[in-house]
Amino acid sequence: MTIFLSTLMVGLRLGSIYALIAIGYTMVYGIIRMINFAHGDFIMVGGYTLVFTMPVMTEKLGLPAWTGVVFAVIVCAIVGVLVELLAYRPVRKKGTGMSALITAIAMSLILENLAQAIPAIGPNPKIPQVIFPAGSLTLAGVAIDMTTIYTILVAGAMMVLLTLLVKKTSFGRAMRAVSENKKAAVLMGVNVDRTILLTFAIGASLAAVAALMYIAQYPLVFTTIGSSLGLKAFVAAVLGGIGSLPGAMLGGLIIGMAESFTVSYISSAMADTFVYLILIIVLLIRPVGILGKNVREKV
Amino acid sequence: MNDPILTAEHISISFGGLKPVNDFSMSLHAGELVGLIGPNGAGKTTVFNLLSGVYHPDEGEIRLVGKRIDNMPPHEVVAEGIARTFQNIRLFKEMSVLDNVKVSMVPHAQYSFMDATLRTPRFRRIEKEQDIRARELLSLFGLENVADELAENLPYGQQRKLEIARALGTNMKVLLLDEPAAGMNPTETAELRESIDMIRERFGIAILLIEHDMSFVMNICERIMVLDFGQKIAEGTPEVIAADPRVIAAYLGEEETKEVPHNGNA
Repeated sequence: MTIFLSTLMVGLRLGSIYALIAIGYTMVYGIIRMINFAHGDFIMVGGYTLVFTMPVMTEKLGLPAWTGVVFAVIVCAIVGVLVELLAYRPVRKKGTGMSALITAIAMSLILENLAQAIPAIGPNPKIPQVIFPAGSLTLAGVAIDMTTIYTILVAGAMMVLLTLLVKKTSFGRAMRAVSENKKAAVLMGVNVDRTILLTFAIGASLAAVAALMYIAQYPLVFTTIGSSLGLKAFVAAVLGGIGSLPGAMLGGLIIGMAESFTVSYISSAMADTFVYLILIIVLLIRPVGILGKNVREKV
Repeated sequence: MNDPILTAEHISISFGGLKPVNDFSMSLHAGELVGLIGPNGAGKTTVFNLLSGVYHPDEGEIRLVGKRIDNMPPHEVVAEGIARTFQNIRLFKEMSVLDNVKVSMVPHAQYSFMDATLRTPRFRRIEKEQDIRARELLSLFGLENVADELAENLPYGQQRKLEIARALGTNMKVLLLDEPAAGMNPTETAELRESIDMIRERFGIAILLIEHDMSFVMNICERIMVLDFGQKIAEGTPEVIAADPRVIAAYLGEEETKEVPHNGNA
């Protein structure tokens, strides 16, 4: 029972992080039908921003370390907007789906290499300071560390906030309209380009929050930190049904749980195998993902 | 008569070797209801696409209340005051009926992203105002009871009405209706006529209407323009148009009557 409960909490924590990242993939896909392969690298951008800003917050301003996330969110949002503005938009307006895909892969490599070229970053991993104070909460006889609790609470709050934003505000209405029918949206007065930029900014901001939660648990930041994390979150988005917001949240939780339970009950070496096995099985049964919609191709 | 709201002067556009709209001019005054008719492929929808900023004319000028709009992207043309519906219904099917109308009010939602995230009083006030206005528009078309349904679940006639209600949410000066009666049964067409009359009365806007249903156009429009091969070949009251030999020729073909080839059991 103890093992089960702690495994569950770890799964929730991992799942929350995957979900936050998966949301970025799914939102961008929903709005421009493109897999943003550079999305994982926004985690890296957020991670390094935290490494450099947290000491300022704690030493100079006497604030808790996690407040550095404000800068991480801002920097990530700017990088997300720049990636769309400088690379994706020009290519999308000129080229095909394939050229957009290749551009996304190129953008991922560019971000990673660019980071390495910055002298303050360099090739060696950085160790961020302690983010959340040590300590734990005992729940039904199981000690749960504070990082796990904060991660679950913050991620949950972000998801509620995002859902409200998408469902109940003009920004969300614009996003849903653009994702469903760009031509009709623009003729209702919606600024499509600006709505796409906003989507990138939101996705990247959530990646920044995910970066905070991730490095709070695994304190190591390196230029390729986003590749495996990003890939797993992408799998989560596909599993839940890419383009679907609740799908990304559900997919993230399933992947997190699968990983956590495999590690606890089977073997840590098998964790990734199970994650991808679940993906294949689900896609065989439901090719559009758990909550995905069948897209009717228009002629 | 006072100055026209919308004018197009000698506008042309070509795609490759085709010139779907060729030296077309028109003007529209406040409160007017004008029909744009013509055989299939005459360039009617292309005129709408030019007026709404989807295409930019190669030559000529389009002005709305004196201001050039022919080089603006579509969303800016909408902001200036031209709204339209589509020949093929283009609702946001996966959104609620209410949200469909509220999409057209997005540019008028004057609150910041921060207001929306923190749900400030300003955000709540504007949202509430838009909600009330959207429901009012829906009730004009008898759609208030289906406000929370998904748009795709509405029957065809109601979807057509919703398209018009949605266009009205943009705060327009000119409304372009692209075949609003297409696919409607006689009852629905009669209801549509009432809706159009009601819109004119209530909003005092100018309406330009493309329609294939001749009796509908002839009954409802004060003035009709006839387009053939991208050019305006006639303009006038329904009576004048109905008697115009060029219009009859355009609709029936140049030769007097073509022999229809026999296919055995014709």
